[in-house]
Amino acid sequence: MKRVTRSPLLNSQALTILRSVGEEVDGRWVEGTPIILNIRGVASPSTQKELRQLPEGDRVTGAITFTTVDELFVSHGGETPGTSDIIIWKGNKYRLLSVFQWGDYGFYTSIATRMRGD
Amino acid sequence: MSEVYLPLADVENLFQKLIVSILGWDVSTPTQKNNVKIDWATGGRPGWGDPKKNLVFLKVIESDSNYNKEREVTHRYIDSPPEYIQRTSYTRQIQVGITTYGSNSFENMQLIRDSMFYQTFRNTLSQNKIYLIPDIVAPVRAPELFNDLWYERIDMTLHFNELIVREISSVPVESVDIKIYEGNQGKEIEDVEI
Repeated sequence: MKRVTRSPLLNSQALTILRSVGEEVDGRWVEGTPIILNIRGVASPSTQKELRQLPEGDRVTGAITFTTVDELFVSHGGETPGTSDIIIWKGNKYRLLSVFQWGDYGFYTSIATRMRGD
Repeated sequence: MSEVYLPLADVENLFQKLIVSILGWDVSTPTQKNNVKIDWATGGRPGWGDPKKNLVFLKVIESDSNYNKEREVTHRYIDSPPEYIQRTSYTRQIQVGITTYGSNSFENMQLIRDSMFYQTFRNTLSQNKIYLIPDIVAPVRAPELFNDLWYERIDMTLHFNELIVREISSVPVESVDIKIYEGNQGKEIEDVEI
């Protein structure tokens, strides 16, 4: 599985991860400069890229499943709190909604939703 | 009097600091200052995993009432420099939703509720032209089941009247030059300045 998720021959792609670093300031969550990670993984659609025709204007939604060797994170507290990882793929940002913890078998499967609405 | 108007973020900040002060989290436990949180962070915010952790969340919105529909408009003219000012004043009603979590959630909400009537905290609000509507509905205890643990939660909604004063000013027309011509593009007959 590790070889699949890293092999360009098997459709592995370069992914940029923006890992959130932030803190609460006067009761507001303030994002700091994110940690940038360059990893490889396999991207596949988990939902269709879908148009929602709303009175205020068109909105586009969609989710992608990313399979990676590196562990990705949804929002977490603790000593170094942060919001969910953001994956840049094909010029768009996707925010992690869920991570399947297959780490014991050498990979992680994550579902991320498109951040831009247009 | 100049304009009196607080943008939404300023109102949120005011209540955040007020409740931190009421709970004593700025003096006795400064590490908890940020445990009074303002809702609806654009990109979300990390949650918390301890049901006993004492937290407060604030939601500020405007609410409707008959009182906030009355508008008083006055006009003022200043000679030097010439300026015309239209001043509109009215009352905006603010609804502040407060949610407390944690082992002291019930007591913390009680303290917030009682403190709203204390002059010290009323002064803080009145300096910003915000005044409590004292008809407070009792807090509601509504524990949440999350990951098989019950999180104590208390909700209370407060209403406030806030004075808003908006002004628009413009430079008045002081004189008009009028020229009268004979026929269509004829010779000038009269040139008057009013």
